Amino acid sequence: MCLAIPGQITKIKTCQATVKYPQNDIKQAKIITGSYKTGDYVIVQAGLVIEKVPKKQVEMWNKFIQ
Amino acid sequence: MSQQAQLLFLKYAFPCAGITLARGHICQKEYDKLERAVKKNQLIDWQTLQKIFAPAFRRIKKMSCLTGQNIFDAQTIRDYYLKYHNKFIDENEGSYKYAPPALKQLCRVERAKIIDVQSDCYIVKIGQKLRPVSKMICLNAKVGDWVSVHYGYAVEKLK
Repeated sequence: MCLAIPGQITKIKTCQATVKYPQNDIKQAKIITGSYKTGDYVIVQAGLVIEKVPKKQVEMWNKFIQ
Repeated sequence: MSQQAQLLFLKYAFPCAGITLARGHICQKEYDKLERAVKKNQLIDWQTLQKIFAPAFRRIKKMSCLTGQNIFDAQTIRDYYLKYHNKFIDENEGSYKYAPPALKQLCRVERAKIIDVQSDCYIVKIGQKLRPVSKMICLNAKVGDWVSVHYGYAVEKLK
């Protein structure tokens, strides 16, 4: 299942990221490749962090989904 | 109307169903049905596919006006996704006009080389960038194979 909205990384422990979504929904996702840090907005699919979303585009993304 | 084309269309179109779901154009039940079908190679009738993926069909029809191809043919579907789909994104056709660049990047269909096979994904190289992609739709690719990638999914092995 793909989460089609950007979530924000709140914690990274080894390769495991904690990702926060609106309504305080929290998901765990694995970082396989790429460099991510706390605060980054990301797209998660099937438990994997697949892409970073620049902060400036998050609002546009959420608007697109609405 | 070949069944092969139906299956291939679903493989290429399914990766954007997550966005279709998030935008409220389909419900969770419809999404789950599509996911089940794509996993098990089950047929979904053209009428349903055309309703759910209306923008993709509109673009395939536009392409077929130029090329004269039958839109219900597997090679037409493949040609659309590999040769024309990204052009529509680049031209900001339809709702791409309102999509952020990062989303449009994921919406592109790319040719990618598999550099690693892990238990839950393939690691592919697209240009200079590495990306993890789901194995769900294209199960039996090996390191060195070229696959098409749409959103976070490997779609099919390419020759």
